[in-house]
Amino acid sequence: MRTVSRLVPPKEIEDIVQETYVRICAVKKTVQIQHPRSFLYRTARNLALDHLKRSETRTNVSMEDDSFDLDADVEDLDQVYNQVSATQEFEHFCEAVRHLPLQCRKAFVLKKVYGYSQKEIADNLNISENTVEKHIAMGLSRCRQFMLQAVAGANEESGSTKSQEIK
Amino acid sequence: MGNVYQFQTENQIYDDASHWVARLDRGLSDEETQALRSWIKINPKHKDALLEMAALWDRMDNLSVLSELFDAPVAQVPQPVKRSVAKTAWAVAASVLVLVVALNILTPTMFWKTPAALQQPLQAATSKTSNTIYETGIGVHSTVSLPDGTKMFLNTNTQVSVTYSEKERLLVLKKGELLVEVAHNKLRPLRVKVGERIVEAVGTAFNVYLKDEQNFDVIVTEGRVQVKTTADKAPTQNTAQQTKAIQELSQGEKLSIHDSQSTAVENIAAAVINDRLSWRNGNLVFRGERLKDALNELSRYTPERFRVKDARINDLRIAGLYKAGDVDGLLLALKENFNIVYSRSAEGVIDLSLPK
Repeated sequence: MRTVSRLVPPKEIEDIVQETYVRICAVKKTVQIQHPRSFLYRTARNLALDHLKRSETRTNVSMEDDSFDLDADVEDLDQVYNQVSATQEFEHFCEAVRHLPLQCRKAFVLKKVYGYSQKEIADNLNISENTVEKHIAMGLSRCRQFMLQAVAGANEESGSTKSQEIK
Repeated sequence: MGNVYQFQTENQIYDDASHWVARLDRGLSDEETQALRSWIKINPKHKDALLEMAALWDRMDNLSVLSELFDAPVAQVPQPVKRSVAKTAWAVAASVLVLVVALNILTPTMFWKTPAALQQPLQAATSKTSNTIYETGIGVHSTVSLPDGTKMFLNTNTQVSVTYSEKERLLVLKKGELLVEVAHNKLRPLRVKVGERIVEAVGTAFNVYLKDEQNFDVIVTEGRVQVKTTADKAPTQNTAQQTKAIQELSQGEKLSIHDSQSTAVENIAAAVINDRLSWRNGNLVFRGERLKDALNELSRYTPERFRVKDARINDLRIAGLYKAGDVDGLLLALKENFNIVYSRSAEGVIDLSLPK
């Protein structure tokens, strides 16, 4: 594809997920877009495991089965999301964020793009930390819905073979 | 079949899970940890939803690459873009970039390639001295492989003379910008003469940008180089003996010379270097520079001249990717995204103005 100039005025923080910016980053950063950390996933999993460990020592179910089960969860999830390439996924994420309501988008961008703490976001946007947390939770939830639609859309386009794989 | 997700209760579970993820991210109190455990226990779907949202959260860390486009805002003051400090590993190929830019960007002369030079590869200059001049025209960039394996990338409007002798490999950057990937050879150091300085490397890579004899900068993308002052403006034979005042630069460092005085060595981020070197692909990357500065930069790649008729234009800021030489694309973007109108004057200068 021919590269053409894409020049825009730098905008507000909530605008950086705009297509132009996204594509500039995607063009430059295809390699780096591939290996996300799984920090929060592990934290959540450990917490869940911990709980299972307790309840199941009572019922004598072996830990190995649980871990296996949990890993299987990730694989299922990967199957869904791996339908799209890392770059496409990145674009979907941006698109998803772009659809968020303004304040929610600002908070979410500061969190996921810039890695601000809730406190820093609250100071920056002049809202309470509690509100920030709600924005972020809502942002994440809406992004999931957006991704589901995007993946569903992609599967329809690519024909029946793939849709059968997901189920 | 996948639309199970549409059910109200299902959505509620995911909303709750999302909220837990947001809390996990900021850190849970002991009570909250207990509360989360209870929540997980209520319904196996809770655990699944929590893990799914946590995994999505992690994957969305991809978005952080966008932060390279603009630095984060501080408080609510709109920030002029300042470049961030290095945080990523060095992705740039081993090279030292010697960047020399001709200040005199108004010269409309067009050289399309140097006659002869590009067709005549250098002789392996082991015993005899050979001298070749390489040149690029405005808007042209070019790669030259020298016989010892050293590679030169010439940016727009650049002229460099190459002299290989037994004792040294000497490149004289007369104007423009040059990136050198130096083939290792201890016995024959490679030197780039720029203004009254010599940049010397054994096996490394660096960029030199020469604005004019008194103003240029050197960026090291791999290894180390030494920057020396030539004792006088005498011709370049035996430059080694004439040098003094050595400055060492290593990877990621930039030395700027203003009015023949060197400023402190500064560290620059890999991402910024990447942008700076994207001219090798014919691209220029802007991250919120003043339009005035951007226009100066763009002007290196076109014989066309711009004239700003409204001072407000100078201070607008611009971001994005520019295909070097794409003046039409620039004018279109200025019109559509900045509301700047243009007209070509009788003498062929492009006037830029804002509607009243």
